[in-house]
Amino acid sequence: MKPTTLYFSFSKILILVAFLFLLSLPFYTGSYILHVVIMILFFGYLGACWNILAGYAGQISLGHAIFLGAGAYTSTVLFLKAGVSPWIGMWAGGISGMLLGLFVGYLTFRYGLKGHYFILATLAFGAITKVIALNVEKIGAAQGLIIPFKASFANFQFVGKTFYYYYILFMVVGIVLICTAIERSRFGQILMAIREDEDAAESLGVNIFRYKLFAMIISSFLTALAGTFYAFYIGYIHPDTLFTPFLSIQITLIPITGGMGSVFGPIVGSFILSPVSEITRGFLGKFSGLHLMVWGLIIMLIVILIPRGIIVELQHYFRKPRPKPLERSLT
Amino acid sequence: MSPEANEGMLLIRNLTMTFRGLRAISNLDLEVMASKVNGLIGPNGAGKTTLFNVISGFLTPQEGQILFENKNLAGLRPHEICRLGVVRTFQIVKIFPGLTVLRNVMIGSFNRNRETKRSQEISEQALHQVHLIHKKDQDASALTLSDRKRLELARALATEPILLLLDESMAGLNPTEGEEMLSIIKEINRRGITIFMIEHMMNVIMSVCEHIVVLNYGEKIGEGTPSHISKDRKVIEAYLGEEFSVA
Repeated sequence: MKPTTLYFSFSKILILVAFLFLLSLPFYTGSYILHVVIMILFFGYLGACWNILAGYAGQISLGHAIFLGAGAYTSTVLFLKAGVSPWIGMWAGGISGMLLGLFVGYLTFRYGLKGHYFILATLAFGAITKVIALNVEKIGAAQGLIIPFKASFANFQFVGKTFYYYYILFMVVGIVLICTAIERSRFGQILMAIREDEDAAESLGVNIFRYKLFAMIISSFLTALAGTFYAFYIGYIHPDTLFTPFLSIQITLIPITGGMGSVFGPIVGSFILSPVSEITRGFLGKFSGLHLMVWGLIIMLIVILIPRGIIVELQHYFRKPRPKPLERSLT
Repeated sequence: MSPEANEGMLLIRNLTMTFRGLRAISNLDLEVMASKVNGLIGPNGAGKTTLFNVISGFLTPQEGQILFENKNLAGLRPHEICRLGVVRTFQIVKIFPGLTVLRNVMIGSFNRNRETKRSQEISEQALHQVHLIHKKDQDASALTLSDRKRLELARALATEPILLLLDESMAGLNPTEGEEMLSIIKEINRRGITIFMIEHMMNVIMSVCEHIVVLNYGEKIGEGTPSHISKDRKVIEAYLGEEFSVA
């Protein structure tokens, strides 16, 4: 068998085993481990959403937390003020995140902001949104919003973590399928061409503005969809946890570690980075910020040893003829 | 040959492109002849690549018209111009390094069709035409300069153009590679695609082009057949340096 086919059949088996393992996990773990895995999957999902815009279309956003925040705030406010079920609120949240994405994308892409300038613009939008959220009294301002616990299916609130676990696992499976479809489609091919060279893509008839905007809309909508999950799982939302630039950076580092522009990169990246933050927070809580040091160390090693991320590097290793390493460009 | 074969396919009228007061192209009038190989020559800094950037929509001229099949291209975006059938290559090659050779070409073929399977057929055909089909599954980043230039050409062909703008397709190639490129370009033209090419190698220009435009400091100083150009005093002074014998 050729190394390529060997790799792909091997990876298929690996994916299946990992999936079965995750499916059965709640039957033999305690709630703490389950919580850690929920957060791993949650951040893997967010990384995968970010990856659609950044990994495929090459537009590095450092403001993705605002979409998550928009989704979380929309459904929470609808629930608290109007009694709208989160099952409906999550779609409203998705749409509000999408509109925010449309706004940010239209302004930045219309005026041709590329590379570093795009990154700075998304960072600025993140900062602006946080200030707004901290000052609007109607959405709790600096106090945040507490969701009173009333367990029921309609309220998206459950005793124990099993339901949340399966829900986020379902979302991860969903995003994996969506990314696979994008990667194989004409749409995905064109996004990757834009990532590789915008001018060349444009000269070949690609309306780059429309494609980048479309990638932004999909990415922000899916990100915002997870906001509802976060709000009702944690039960408390606050601008400092949802609109913080650090959350945006966290969303960014996960796919970079696992492999940008690949379907499983963000999920694998999350399994490497997220436990570090969860476990250090759990066991070494008094040394707050310790997980950031460990993260820093991991990121340094990854950038030096496997700059394209784990999954992408593995794929290339098993592919022949081996191409020259690509210069990693964030622009 | 169609009856209009000798008419201008691309008519440039009174074109001016300035960069903050610097006139890169001023009051330019020229014609690109349908179904021929047209050449664009001139010393460095004459405005040749700027002209290509203007025609292909990467720059918007301050004044003038670029008429292609009775439509004015001035002010349109590059992708709209490509859709109309005018496609360019770049002086410094711009491939998609992270994609395979075939995928590179398929991006071009998406210009005129949405179906992946049909795209693949068109792309493989284009790769045949530039003799690169045997490398279709390689990553484009692994290609040599000569292969990259041919890949760029295949990608442009896959968009199914009417007019092809080639910006120094032969620069940096060794004589053998240059010969091959030249025969590929001739073959593309023979199949009915009009060529407008910037080139510095005079023997290439003189042997392959039927119509030549000479630029100097953003102005046209000569236009005509190779034999006409090679005897033009202004062209000789500005660029050729000596009378160029046309074989």
